[in-house]
Amino acid sequence: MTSAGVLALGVLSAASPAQAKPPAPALVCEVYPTMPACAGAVPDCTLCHQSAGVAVRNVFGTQIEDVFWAGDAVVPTDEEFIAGLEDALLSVEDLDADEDGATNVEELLAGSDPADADDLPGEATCEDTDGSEAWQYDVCSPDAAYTLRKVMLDVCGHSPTLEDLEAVTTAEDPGERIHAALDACLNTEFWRGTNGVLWQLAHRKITPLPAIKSGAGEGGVPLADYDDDYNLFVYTQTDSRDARDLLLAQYVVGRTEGDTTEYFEMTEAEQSARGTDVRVFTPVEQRAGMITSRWFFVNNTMFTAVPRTTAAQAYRSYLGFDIAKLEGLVEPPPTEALVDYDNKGVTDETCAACHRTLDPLSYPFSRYNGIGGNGGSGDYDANRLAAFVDSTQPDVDQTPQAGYVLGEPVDDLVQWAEVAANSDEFAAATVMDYWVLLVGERPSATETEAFVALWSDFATVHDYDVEAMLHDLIDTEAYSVP
Amino acid sequence: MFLDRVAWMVAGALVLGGCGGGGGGGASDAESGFTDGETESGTDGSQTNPTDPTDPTDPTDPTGDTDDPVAEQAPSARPRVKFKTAERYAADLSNALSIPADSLCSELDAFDCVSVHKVALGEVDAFGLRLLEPLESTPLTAPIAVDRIGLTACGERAARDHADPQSATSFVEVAGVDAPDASAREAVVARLYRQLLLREARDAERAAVAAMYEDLPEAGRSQTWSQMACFVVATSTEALFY
Repeated sequence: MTSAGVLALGVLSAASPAQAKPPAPALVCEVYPTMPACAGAVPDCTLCHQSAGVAVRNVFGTQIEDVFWAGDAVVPTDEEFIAGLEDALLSVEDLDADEDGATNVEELLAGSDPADADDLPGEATCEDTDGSEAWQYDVCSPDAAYTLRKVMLDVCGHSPTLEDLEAVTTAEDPGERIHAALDACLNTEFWRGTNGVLWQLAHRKITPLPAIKSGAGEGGVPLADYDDDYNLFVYTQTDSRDARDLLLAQYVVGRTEGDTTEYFEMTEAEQSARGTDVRVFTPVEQRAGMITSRWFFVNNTMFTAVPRTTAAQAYRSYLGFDIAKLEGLVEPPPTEALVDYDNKGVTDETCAACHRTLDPLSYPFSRYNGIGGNGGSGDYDANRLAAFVDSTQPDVDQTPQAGYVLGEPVDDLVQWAEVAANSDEFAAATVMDYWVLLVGERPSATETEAFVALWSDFATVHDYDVEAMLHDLIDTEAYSVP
Repeated sequence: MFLDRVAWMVAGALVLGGCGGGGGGGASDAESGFTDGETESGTDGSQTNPTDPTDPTDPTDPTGDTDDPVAEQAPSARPRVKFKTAERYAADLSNALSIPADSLCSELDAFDCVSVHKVALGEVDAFGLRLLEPLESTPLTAPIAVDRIGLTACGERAARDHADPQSATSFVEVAGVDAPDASAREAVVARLYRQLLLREARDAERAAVAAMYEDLPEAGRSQTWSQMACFVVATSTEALFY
């Protein structure tokens, strides 16, 4: 362990327990809007805390503590905290919490961790270099052949031909050839076919489990068919459709396979005529795309009364916030008290830091069956919670259907989905998926502005058309400059 | 001696194909080993003559490098290099060697190598192993899997070309020839670079790969050299990453 590491450990051991402040990440972004972690998201609570869920500050958080409420045994109220955090951040800007030679502010703006001595700000950027006219390759300018090769490999699954490369290099408008290649690639089986790139992008959201799959290729205990989920995912990401249908679709998508895989909207008569092992029982008006699919409830809600896992998976998959990492803790207003309807101890102060966000996020999911239940798996049942009342959770049926998402009140899950689908967080999370897929990693500090512009355009200029967004993504410096 | 030479060549190919950004042919200076006066694809997009007779490289250096090419080229501000992954690599090998992807290589004559080794080579297995994302780090078996696929695919192409020289697609100049001369071998190397790396080979690269012939056992030397020349190029860093 390095001396800095030993010092850090000592400081951490001595640090007093500290309550995580859910408003803090958003406030940090107000002070440092160009921080990479603020690109369509907010920093993890681990920016200041030792680790997710642990109410102990790291070395950077401890520096803030020292100037913010040094010697004060009383934990500040949220109001005091909000009022004082900016000054506290500014006052430790020029310190070096992890003693790695880079100041806190340098690390924040560069996207490195001010509490990790092994994480340093990156190398010089194009703005810092000169003499490019002498380079064999200008690593600060888009390179047509380089970009074409990446587009073809990323989206088509193979390299271009030598002739293609020569043609794009000498073309008067190489961009036209590159974008034509992208259009062609977006229609390949490699991209949109069964098990193609889009399917792979959906795996983490759907989390398939063949043992309980129903329908084609059913497992030993067939409960629901995740093919519906993959079909809807690909359908919403292709052919200029509105990607918000991920959360808004009230239709079911089918698929035919052959030389090319085709996805199509099923009529309600077609979908309801399917076998009971795969049929969607949820009434059309209670559906909200991927987060009300039969598979989603069977796989996440299972036998739970208040389906926190289900809500957390929806939040993680479609809004980019992992509550397990203390991300996206946007609480309802203070007037909305946290109630422990299912007797799980969530009002304990240590737990409440997350549950003040998670529980109201989960309530709208509570009227949908998990495995089994009245009407079948995934069906909507307004009185569902009555079946869960017993001596261990006598008040669970008092759990409201109304809840909160992103700080906004919602009456039910359909409204939850509408708020989510129209949020900046949804646009940013969707674009982030593709950025990471194509660029290879999250935006760097110097790419934050381009990333924010891209997801802003996705929600406006592109009308949530993923393919239109991808055409702009491959033109970014992050993708097209060697 | 043979294995030493092959190892030398693989090392040379790795140096020649070092990671970095990409240029006209998808290779940066560091990748292609270009030195002053040589530009594969300049910033103005022009193509240069890769067979420049004034090439100043030392022919005794199997890497072909006399200068440190990195010193001549500013580094990328944000170098990003991605592994092709099993499917992409197989597709490129298939296209380059004109062999159907499912015939590139098989384990136990029963299982497609690419499918068998797909997780090691960066693919996921959501419905089998429930591996929803690629492994975060490259497993120890990945280079072995690449060698297995590359060597077998190259062997298949060499066998086909030498068995039917009239239909040869990669080893045209040496197929069916017992003792091909250096110029024939260099012509083959040039074709392999175009087919597998999508660029012209440098003089030093052609000479180095062609020279490997002299160290091979005499029996079946022409076909063995064909396979190994292809293997060296097909398993270079430049062929595996983009």
